Amino acid sequence: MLQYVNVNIDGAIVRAVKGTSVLDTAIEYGICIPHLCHVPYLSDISACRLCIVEHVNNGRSKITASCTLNVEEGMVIMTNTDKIRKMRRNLAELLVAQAPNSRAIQDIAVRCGVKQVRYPFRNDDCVLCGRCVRVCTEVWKAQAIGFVGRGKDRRAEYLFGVRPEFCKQCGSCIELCPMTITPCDGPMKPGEERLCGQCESQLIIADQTPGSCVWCKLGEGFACGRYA
Amino acid sequence: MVGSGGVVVMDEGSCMVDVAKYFLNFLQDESCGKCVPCRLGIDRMLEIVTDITEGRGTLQQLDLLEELAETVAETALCGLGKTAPNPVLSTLRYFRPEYEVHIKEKKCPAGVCKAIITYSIDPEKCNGCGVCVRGCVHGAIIGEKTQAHVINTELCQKCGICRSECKFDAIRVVCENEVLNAAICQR
Repeated sequence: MLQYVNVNIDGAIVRAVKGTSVLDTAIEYGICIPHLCHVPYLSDISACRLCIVEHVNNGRSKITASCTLNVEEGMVIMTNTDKIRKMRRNLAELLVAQAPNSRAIQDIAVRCGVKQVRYPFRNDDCVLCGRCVRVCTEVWKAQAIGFVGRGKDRRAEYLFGVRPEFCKQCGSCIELCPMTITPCDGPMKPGEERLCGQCESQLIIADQTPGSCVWCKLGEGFACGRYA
Repeated sequence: MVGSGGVVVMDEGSCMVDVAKYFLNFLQDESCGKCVPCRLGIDRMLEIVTDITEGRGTLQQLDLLEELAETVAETALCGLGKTAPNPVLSTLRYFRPEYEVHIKEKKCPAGVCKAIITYSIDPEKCNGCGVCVRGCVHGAIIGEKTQAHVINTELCQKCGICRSECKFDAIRVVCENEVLNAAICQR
């Protein structure tokens, strides 16, 4: 039998299944928490940190990622304070400066309110969200790709750099990768990267109702939990 | 950040921007690379601080640095990431004028940041002993014995060996023709 707990998210008291994450609960009730590395059927690693929320406990608030925060009875969660919005914008700016050639990441940046990118673009493509690694390990049990290296040199790669025999070439890693959707105008050349403004029609809706999920088309690109 | 329960004493010969850069370099090596704020945030902070020490910084970058440091401190996954911006935040808090001098006047008050300083020899103090000529590994110091020596600024790599070798305190650090005899304490 399912057990339920009552959680206060943005002032709304909602009933959540015990053991689920705050992010899943919020999406279910139509509260928008932008997320990148979260895929509904995979485990969460809270690497992208876009889904940060404020967890208020005894009058003190703590910022944590909501995808790895499980619901508890009487929890108070704020998903859309000024502080959270500012930090989310800064994180999205870091991501889009790293991989401007992904429509998914451009869309997330627009959703998080990035108006201009203040860092030089890098065009590094991979943002190490770990979706490919997790789908290979958890769904197909193949472990053909994994993280190699540490810190700045960390990258997702085949074991020893060559495709192992046990990779069945299922293509799940490509399917989930946020880099596989190029911007509408096609890939940008090195040195010509910019913040794509194509989705500003979406931004108008997103600006008016920053906290609630409007089923924005922006979510389709990065397989938002709502579209799964 | 400077060790477990340790205290580091620095005098006016330490450039606080350079200190922040040193710690960011160390933290970049220590970061595991899992979460975005730590991996990309430290990288970008280091980029901005390097720009400032090399005289390319702008005041907008200084605000960006502070904003980024606060974001990384709040949102990083583990303890390392949460404390990583502390060197930047505390040097900005107590030594902000030093950052501003680097940006506005392209000067390093402590004479540490190599890209924006030059060395020269005080002809009055130099007695031409030749110690610096033998010490200079780049062959940048020329001059006759018992005559005042001169530094060839094109060859000089700003390593500071001559300054530590000189027994007469004749080597000066110059920023845009202005001699910094004693480091300026901004507070």
